[in-house]
Amino acid sequence: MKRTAAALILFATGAGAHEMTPAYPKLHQSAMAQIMQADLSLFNARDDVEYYAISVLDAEMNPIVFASAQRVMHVPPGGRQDFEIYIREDDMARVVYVCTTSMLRAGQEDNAIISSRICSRLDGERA
Amino acid sequence: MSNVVPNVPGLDISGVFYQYTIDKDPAADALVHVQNENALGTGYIFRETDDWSGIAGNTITKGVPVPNIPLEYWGIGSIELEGEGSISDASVIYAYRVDECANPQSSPSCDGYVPPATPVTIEEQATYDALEDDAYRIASAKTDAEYQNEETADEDRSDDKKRKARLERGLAASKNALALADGISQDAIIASMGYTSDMAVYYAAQLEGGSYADAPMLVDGKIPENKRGLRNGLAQQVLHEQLIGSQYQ
Amino acid sequence: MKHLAIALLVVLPHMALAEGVQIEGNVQAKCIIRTDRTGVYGNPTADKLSALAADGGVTPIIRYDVALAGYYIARITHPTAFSTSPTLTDTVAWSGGASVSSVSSAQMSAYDAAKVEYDATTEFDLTVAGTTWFKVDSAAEYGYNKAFPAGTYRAVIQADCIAK
Repeated sequence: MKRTAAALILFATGAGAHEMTPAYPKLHQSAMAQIMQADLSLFNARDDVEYYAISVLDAEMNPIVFASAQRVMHVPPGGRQDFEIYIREDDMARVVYVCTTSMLRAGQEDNAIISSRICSRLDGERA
Repeated sequence: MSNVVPNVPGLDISGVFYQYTIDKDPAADALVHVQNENALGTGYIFRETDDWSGIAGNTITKGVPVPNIPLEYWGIGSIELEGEGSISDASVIYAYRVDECANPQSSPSCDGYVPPATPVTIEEQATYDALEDDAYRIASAKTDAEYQNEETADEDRSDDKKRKARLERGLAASKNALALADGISQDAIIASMGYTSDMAVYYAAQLEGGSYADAPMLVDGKIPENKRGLRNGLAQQVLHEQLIGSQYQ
Repeated sequence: MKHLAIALLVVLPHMALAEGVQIEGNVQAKCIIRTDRTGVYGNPTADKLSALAADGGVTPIIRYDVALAGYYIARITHPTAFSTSPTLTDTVAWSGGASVSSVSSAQMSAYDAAKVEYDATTEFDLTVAGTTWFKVDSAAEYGYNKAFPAGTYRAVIQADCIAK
């Protein structure tokens, strides 16, 4: 039976979205001794941004040393990127947030003046 | 709802999206109902309520999924404010879908589609009228000179002819006026000529004379042979036998 | 015949084992930031750049989608410096703020009353699941009645969604 669907879009969705999951990633032992690992996924629906920077922060939004395959990821529009971050076991007590921030290129012709950042919480506690 | 969504068969509503701005006192109570009446019954087929009681007014943008309710159930829609405040910049959008095979004849790919019968076309036969042919027209057309010469003489001749014809008709009419004018009386005359009422004269006709008796018959039944014929008969027999024997020699 | 009987015995019990298969899933806390409308600075006077509609600009609107209530905080920081501009020889005074523009649930209109503002940042506690649109005002004034040099000016709004 043929059906024709007419989806009426009420609102313009604009330039796209930035999404990162999970909201509370679990730190677990990595393959290396005294190094903890967390696994996250980033979805880029922004068509004006292709690069995202990873950062690990404490409760006061101060940076904490960490390691990952790449500090600035290239995620094409409409793409999803899974990534891991590695922190020392000693820093587990201080680590609170892991964030991804959109990077706007200098000289970008688009009037993209909104930089988005999404942070997940690593300490497993919900404030 | 026919002036909001297309009034086509097989249409049902799958979602309602609405937006409005409410201006109210944050401390006041207010309920806003976005609703559609049930066209086939009582009450509402769709009703979404936003509770603004105790909070400041704002612009709300909301989408509500609906379980594919057919169009005939959807009655008049309205936005009703219950409480204090005012509503502005309201808009409601209905998401719908159409079953193209609600009428199976709409597409050959639908179940139950019956191909239409091939219409019979009768070709119009072209008729040929010889008198309308260009060749005939050209041939029968009179030249200007002929037209001119005949113009005056023909006029006189035609006048004479007409006069004579009229005279003849008048004479014939006067002489046999009754017979010519009345076809029924002519038929009656003919019928009366052919009608014979007394046929008995012919049935009772008598012929004079008697009867003819049989001629005398032979007394005895034997007819002697003709002796003169013997000679002729024997000669023929001898000849016959000679002919037959000759084929065996 | 013996083989056929055994095959049937094997097959029939499997036919009786057909049953429903469960599909499991869960909804996890998720925050999505969308740029609904990128802003444009208007130039109402020579010394002022403003994103307000009344000043000839376009107010940027940021959309936040949260799947679960109470898991995220929206933190919006309006610009305090140009990311792209001609050389400026004087100071620039920045002003701005964020407020709720539109909501998908009536309860979200309480965000404005409960927001926290400090420095150039406005924080909203996303206590209701759904979609919230925030508008960001931004204005810059150059020196004291000093005209901005000609050129392209761009500034960046930072929109954060932080797990609680």
